[in-house]
Amino acid sequence: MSAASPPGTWGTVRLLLASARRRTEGRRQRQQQLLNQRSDGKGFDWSSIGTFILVIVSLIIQGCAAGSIVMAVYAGQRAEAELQGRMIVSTDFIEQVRAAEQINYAAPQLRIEALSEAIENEAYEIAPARSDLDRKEVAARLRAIVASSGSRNLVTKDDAQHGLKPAGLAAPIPAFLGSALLLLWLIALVCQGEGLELDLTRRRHPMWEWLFSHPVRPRAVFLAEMIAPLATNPAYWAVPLMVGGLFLVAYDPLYGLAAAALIGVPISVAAGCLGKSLEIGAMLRLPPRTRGGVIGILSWLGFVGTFGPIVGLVMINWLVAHFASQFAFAARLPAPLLGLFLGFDGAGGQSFVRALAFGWLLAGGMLGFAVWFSVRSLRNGLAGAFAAETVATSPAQQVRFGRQPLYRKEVLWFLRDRSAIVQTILIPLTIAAYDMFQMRGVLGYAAESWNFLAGAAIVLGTYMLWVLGPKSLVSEGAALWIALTWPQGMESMLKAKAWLWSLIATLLVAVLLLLGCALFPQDTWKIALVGMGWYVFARSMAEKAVTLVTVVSESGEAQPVPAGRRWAAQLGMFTFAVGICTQVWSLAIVGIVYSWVTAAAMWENFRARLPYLYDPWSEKLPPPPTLMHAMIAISAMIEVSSIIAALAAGFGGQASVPVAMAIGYSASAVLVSIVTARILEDRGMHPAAAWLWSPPSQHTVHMFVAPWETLWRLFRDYGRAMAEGLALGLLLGGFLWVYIHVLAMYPAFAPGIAATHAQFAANPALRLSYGFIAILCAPFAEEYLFRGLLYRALDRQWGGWKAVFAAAAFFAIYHPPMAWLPVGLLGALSCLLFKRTGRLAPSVVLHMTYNTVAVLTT
Amino acid sequence: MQSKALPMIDDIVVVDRASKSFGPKTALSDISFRVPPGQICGLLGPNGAGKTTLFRLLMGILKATSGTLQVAGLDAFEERVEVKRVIGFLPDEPVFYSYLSGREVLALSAGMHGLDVQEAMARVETLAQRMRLADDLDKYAEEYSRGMKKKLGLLLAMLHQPRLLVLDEPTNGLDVESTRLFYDLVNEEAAAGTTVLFSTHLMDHVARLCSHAVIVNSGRVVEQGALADLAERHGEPDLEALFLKLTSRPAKE
Repeated sequence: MSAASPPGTWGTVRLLLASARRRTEGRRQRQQQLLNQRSDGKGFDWSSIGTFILVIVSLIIQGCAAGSIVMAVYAGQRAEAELQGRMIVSTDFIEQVRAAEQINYAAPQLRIEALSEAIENEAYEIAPARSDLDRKEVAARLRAIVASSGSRNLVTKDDAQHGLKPAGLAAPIPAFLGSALLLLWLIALVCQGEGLELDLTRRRHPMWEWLFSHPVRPRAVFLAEMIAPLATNPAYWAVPLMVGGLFLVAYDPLYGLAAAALIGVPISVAAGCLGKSLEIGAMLRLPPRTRGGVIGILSWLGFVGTFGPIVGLVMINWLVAHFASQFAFAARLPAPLLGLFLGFDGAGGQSFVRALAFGWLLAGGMLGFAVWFSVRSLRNGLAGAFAAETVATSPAQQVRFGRQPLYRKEVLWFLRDRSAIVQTILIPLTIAAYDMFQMRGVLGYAAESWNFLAGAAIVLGTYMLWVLGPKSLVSEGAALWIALTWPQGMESMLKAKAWLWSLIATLLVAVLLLLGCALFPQDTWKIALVGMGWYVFARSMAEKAVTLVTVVSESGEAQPVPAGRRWAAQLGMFTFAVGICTQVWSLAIVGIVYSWVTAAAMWENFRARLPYLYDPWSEKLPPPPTLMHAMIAISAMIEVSSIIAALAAGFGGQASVPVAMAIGYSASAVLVSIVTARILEDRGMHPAAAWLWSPPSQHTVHMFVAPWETLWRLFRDYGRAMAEGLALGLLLGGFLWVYIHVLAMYPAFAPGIAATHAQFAANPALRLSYGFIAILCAPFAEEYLFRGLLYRALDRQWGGWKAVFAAAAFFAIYHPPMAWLPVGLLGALSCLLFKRTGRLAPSVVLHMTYNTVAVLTT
Repeated sequence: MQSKALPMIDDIVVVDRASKSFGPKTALSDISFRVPPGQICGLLGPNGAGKTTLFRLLMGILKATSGTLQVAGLDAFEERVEVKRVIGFLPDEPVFYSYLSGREVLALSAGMHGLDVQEAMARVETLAQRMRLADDLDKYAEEYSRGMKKKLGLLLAMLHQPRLLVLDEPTNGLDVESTRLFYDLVNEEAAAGTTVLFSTHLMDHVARLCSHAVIVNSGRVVEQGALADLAERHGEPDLEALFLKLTSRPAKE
């Protein structure tokens, strides 16, 4: 025998599987090394815990799958009985009806009267398990049946619902439902692939060319390729549980165990192989641009399949109860799959051996088809034989919108790449829908009023953007180098992507909102307002989401996005959605403004990170104060103030709440300002720098001694700027006086204003404490935070009027909606004064003057 | 005459004591060289010598750990936006958007460079005809062969008429005719004042094209100078012998 004789089919498979195992092991070790390096050896390998959790989740999912099939069969049996005009009731109730019949058999009305209490009691028992009927409806139905046919159409649970037994599957509806779910489960299993890794850029197998340069049989290579992922995907390990569960219900625990091992394992292996062969076939037989789409849809089916069973378990009863009459067509379709799978025959017998034979036949058939299909796909060789695709006509005429080159590129990608629809719509929509399913308690109201529907649309659209954003660079793949040769390439490209994402999400939200218009026509104008709000919100949400992108390094590792950043990207969504749901419009506006300013803050940090996307070792933080610093400080001030106020009110009782709030706010404002200044000093920003517009030069540096001392020095040095602040403050105070008097003329606002006046009159301490915060504390703290930090950072980001508007809006949303106009004007004037005079002190004077007027006039 | 100590602002590429490390791993250490305008300079080095890292530093994709890199007087990282207007870059293995035709990639890039797209496309069209790529420009770039991708990459690099062409292994995957055409193009560009910096490990390419060469090994410059003197200086018969001598072992301090 020659020494160089190549290995046979099984020898090849063994070799390849061993190498796959070694690759997995190597990958694991490398990850551990990286982790150790990043955390100085203090890292802990979470991957084994991750695998463990995945196994548990898979087991739960498979358990749910078995459960939902059993439940579907039971629900189908009930639907079958009810379609025939019967009703499932307790044995006691039937006996009571029979007894009543014996006495009053001639008169239905007497019968009902005699049974009235029994019917109520029975309805009380039945109703909680029904999602489609309430107690009164159940009682009415019982009454009708008893009146018309006595006990003839009443059946017990045991008589009507045979469950997962031959007799139970004899009726068409349960057989159809059970078989349909089993088929869906099989399809999801086939599409499971390599788990949830939805990598659409992987469009060809780089190793095949190399593998087939060896004297090996293609079927061996493909078989190994098909088996290898089974070993790494826990989704397949849990399959026996589902099969065992079904047999446990249909037979007994012992048969359940036997079926898990003898049928579950082969089905699992065969399904995995079939899925892989479909992937192989797609790669070998489909032209490049279609491949991504087909593989994407396969992974999507698998992805949906992973949580389909959980949804099924919760929803199946409701679905069957609501759509029972629609299932009637199933009576005409043969649906033998579940029966065959469980070894039932048409004559009411069941046999485990028959089930075993069918299971093996199914698994063998799938496996055989898988190998045949993948080897046959090789018929035209590895390269395939695709007619070269050319761009049909001059696309300049095809695509008119998106003239700007980058926008055009994104639109062309969306229209041409067949995986785009999977990547940008199917997957995000599915994830968003699943998140909504988790919140179904709240969303149950969506069908009842326009505002809940609109709120749900906002949450769905936001989740979709949140899923899409981090995947923004996936469609670029390795072609990202082209963008890197452009001036400002990456930044404008990601903004263009954000634009496309916001369009797609807006399309979806628009569909839901139009549905809302159709359902609640009288509220159309409100829904239109929500739509406008969404359009503004969506762009900022998309821009936040794209800052979550990661670049996959050459070794295939993606840096995980910190949880804090992922969370920050969602800021504003709940405020907006809750505002719509509760119809508090001001809250919705707060959410939109918050989202916009967060977007600017995240982009400021992202822009500092962007040059190091490929070079995280060189990454640096942006110079302080960033917008994020300002936002965190402002949020902290609000939080701390409510904590202090709560403590103060706890000691002082209910009556002291307004004073406690005043104390809390002033204490928190001073505290947070000082702490923020210290933190920023640690980051290299001199405390005095916040009080000047441009960085301090030698003779403008003032040591931060105390606010009053700073104020005095500035007053002495810059009297004119201070006088301007005073004059503007008085002017704005005058405006406030007019504004309040005009508002008081409207019946909608008058009571609120009168109540405030009365409150101040009744409690002199209140005016004093308000005066204390408004004149002595707030101007310093708020000017420092909102102008010294926030507006400065916003001006660096956006510049001009947009920054002034955003800073003023952000300042206004921390006040009651009624005060938005004057406070917003105060914010805007203060920003302008700060930038023009180059110092913050005049703004403080402006703020103090205005607040003095405000305290005195109310 | 300029003294060596003074910065020669006229030099289009000035790399001064540049080092780059990725965490604990050092990719380049203390690299210095200059390329004057109009020169064709070959960057030679065995696999893994740090050529690609050096190009990425010049492109502003990576930031040097220490030292400076200047392109046309601009800091390669700090002024990376301006630098991209000066450099045309061809990577080792160019990859393209799978859903755009060659022509659309070119038009997109022209737009991103802020060029008049019509004008740029007309200019590129003649070049594409010379490269025998014009007929394939309406195909999706993903279906191009390796050589075609390289040609399209070269068109992209020359699209905005850069003052400096940075070409990573430009002739890999090109056929004989295209390689010869490539030489002609590079010579024409250099004659018109464009500087060309390209990496290769093929000595005959260097000998036929370059006037100067920089030899790197293990992240260090081991030799540089005019091609005519290099071999002679070390007493080696030709460039290939010199290259083998200098790079056979990791260079020592």
